[in-house]
Amino acid sequence: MTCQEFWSRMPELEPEQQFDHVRQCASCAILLERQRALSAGLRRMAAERHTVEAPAYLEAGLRAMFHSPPGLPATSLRWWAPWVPAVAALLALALFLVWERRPPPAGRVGAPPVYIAFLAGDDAAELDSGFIPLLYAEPTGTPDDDDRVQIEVPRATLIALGIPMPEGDAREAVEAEVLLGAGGTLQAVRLLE
Amino acid sequence: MEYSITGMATETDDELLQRMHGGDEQAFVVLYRKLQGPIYRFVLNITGSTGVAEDVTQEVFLALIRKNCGFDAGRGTLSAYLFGIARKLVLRHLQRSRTMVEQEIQADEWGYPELGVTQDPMVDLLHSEGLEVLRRAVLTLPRRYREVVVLCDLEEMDYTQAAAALGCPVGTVRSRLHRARALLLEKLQEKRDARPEVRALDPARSSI
Repeated sequence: MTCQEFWSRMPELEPEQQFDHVRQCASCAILLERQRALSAGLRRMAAERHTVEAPAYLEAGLRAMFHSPPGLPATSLRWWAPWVPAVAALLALALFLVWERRPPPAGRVGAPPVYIAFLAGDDAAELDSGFIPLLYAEPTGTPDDDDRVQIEVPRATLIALGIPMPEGDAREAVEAEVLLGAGGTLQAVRLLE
Repeated sequence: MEYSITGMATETDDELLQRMHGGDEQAFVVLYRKLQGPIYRFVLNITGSTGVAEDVTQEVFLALIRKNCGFDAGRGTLSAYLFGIARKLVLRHLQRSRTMVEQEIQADEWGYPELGVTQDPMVDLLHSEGLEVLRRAVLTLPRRYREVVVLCDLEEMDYTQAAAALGCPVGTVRSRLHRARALLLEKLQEKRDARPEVRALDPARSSI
């Protein structure tokens, strides 16, 4: 039996006939082995996905449509899918705005504003307190312990804020202290490490 | 409202369809539960997208709900008819979206999980990483070959059932499946040969 005859008759050949040919033909033996492995892989893939089915809400939606008047245009039961990124972006924006505009803590309301010495003049310079003022920050008062919050942030965040940082992994978290102004706005940052 | 589907298991698809078109929701549920899995998996395996699989499955069964759905029991089984609708919808989806699965996969070629280091790439198919490579290789097959692999190898249809679902002769299914498997072996071998560490481990290959 030639190789061509072997492969053209392969599916119907008896195991003994297969063995007779592959014993004499190493290339067909390798190819046959690979085909068997491929079949085994496909069978395993089929077994893995055999239980995969459409989600339950599809059946519920179709049952609801079953009694709807004919001629109504069918809407995708996944109508929400294209809106997911937009809604997520809107939620993120809303959270950001709420955070930015949250009222100041009750204890600080009405505290007399005192001029912050380090924000005057050279606002990019690191001052005695170690705080580095942010360029957009408005001077609102003297830093006191109530206005300071210790945080742990990625080095990249501080670099993005324009804080001079020693070399290191941008993803590494570093300890810092932030100075909050009226309304909780970020005024200045100082590295603790 | 829940329905009992006991006793409907012995009814044929045609009988269930007739009752369904008479307004029997229970008959629809039986048909849906029987046929949604293969349809959903078919689309999922062809497109690689659960979203498309859900949309197409919905469209297929919505078409069935319509009284003038066009099914003719004399021309084939209900299952084959639904697969035919699913195929057309998948084709429409592939034509409409310019991001064809093949292109996505080719662009992401090196994002494949690596095969384990063995002398024979097919041995890796017994491992989960190998299966993922195989799954992606199936997705890169031309559609006509992908369809027969999905129907015959993954849905375990026989040639006659696959031919009915694809609307082509049995001989075409047989020859496409033969070619599809050869292409899969080539793709897996190419993927294997592209790995430098495998060439380094195999003196015969590294000297070429």
